[in-house]
Amino acid sequence: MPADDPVRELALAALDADAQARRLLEPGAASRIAFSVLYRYAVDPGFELGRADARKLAADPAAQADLDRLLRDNAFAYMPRQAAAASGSVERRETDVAILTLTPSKADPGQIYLGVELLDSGAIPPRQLFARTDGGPWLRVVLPAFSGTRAQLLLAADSDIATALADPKTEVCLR
Amino acid sequence: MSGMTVHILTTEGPVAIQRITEEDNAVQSVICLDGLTQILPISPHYEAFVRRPAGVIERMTGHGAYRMDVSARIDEGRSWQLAAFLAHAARQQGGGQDVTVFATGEVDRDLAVRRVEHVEQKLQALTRHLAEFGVAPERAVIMVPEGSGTVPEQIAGIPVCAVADIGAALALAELAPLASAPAKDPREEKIDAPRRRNVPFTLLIGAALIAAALFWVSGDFARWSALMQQGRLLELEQDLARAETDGFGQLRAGAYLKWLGLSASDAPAPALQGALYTAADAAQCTEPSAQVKRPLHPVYKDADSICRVEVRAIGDAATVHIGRLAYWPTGLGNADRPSRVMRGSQETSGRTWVLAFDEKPQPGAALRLVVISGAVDINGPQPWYQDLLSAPLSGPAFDAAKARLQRFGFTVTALDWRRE
Repeated sequence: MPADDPVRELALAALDADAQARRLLEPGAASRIAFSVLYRYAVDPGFELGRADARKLAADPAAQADLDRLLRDNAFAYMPRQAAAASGSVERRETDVAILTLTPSKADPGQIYLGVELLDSGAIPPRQLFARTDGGPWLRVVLPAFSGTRAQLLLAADSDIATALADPKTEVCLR
Repeated sequence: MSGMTVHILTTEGPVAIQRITEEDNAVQSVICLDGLTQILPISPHYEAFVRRPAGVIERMTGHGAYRMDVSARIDEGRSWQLAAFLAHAARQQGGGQDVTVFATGEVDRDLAVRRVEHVEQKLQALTRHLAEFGVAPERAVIMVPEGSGTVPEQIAGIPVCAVADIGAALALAELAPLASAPAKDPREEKIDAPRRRNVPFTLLIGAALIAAALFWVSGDFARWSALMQQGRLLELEQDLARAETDGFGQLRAGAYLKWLGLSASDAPAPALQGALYTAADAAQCTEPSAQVKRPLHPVYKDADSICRVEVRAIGDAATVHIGRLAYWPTGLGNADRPSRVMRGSQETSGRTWVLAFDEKPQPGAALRLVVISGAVDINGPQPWYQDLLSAPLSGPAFDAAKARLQRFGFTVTALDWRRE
């Protein structure tokens, strides 16, 4: 489905309108993040979540559950948190379709390489990586263009996303 | 780098190569902006320029992954290659002399310097840069590819030199020639040749041939060993197959495989332990307390519903065990592909596959577990799984797939299960 599919746009607008109407009928109800915003955040690498929407999302478990479903549905790959017995930091995660690796940079110990390798050379590559630790908020990183089956990013080793990816309690979605 | 300073000529002005650092061979070579985490989009070209078999840098240095930091963005093209090669050569030679180099040109795999576009604009941008910042002209050189059209003899007192190959570029940068680089000045050969006629000619030729053969063989061995260490088995297999297309290549590939067989013994097979979790009917599979754990035998004849299966591969700590568990609801190999293929979870004592059946096994359903044991994890595409997971264990297709892995010292262990 193309990104600007008019039927989908209409459906998203209808969902937003329905949510807005319900809020109007419930005086005093907290303002919620629009579903269309969540949807764009999940599927569009160019879309940034504004501060106000980020606050609404953080305060709204139902919206977080919506985002959770959006990310998992039709995900390119979903990598669950690792077994309880796993300890130490994670350097490699793999599924049947993709492998993620973390390799510290020798050039700069404060930086770390995140490698994404697709196992099917014919697959349409994912464009975003989402990670969430222990049920916390989803973090997002936009993936660069793949060269063949591989893409590589350089992250600050102490960044939120690098810390999360090294944590066995983190689940990861490629979309 | 201390000593030589190298700049890439661009239409926006010279871009300094600030630093080149070796990286772990598992990562791809990258060009980064000014020490930041920003990887420039031309990095895949740099990776190809560095890594063998096509890359020329690994051929020179023996290492296949680098990070190069530059002072400004370079967004496209390959004209950075001449400057990058010189910077790598200077690093290899301990930093080089105190020379400032401005260079543009593409370097091919024979180390010839190829022409690039926009040389005139790049030199104009350099002129503006030098007018503002200046460089001591007596210790600087500007290099452009031979045949770049009309170029000035000098800019701000710095000579502009046309180069045809890396040998000439290294000489201009006051760097030592490469062992396999073209001679930097053909006149030297003419002068030297008559003197050497006094040495027994056949002895020299023999020594040269032995040296060349050793260089030739060791280069392939190093590449194949690196692929093996990185677990890039399919690439290794393809590389060996390419080598085997000619007589000498066949010898080299055969020698490598012999060496591999001698240097590493076959990996020990793991012990496989499995269990089935069954319940009186499928609905009770959601209740752990209603499930019964049974040992996994090759054939299941009971009427109870099968909720899930767990299999562990237990081996010694020095061996890497990888594998796949395939679920065939209508029987082994009776569909285009298995309905589920699982990689298993990695644990310190081995690997475990846990499959909770969404589609409960009916009579005829089958599982095939294949464990590949070896010294390294296997990376990249693994086409042998297609036959290993679907072909009968005693059939030629399974044996052929198994033989592909055994050739490289891997041991294949398989387990079949079915519901009668």
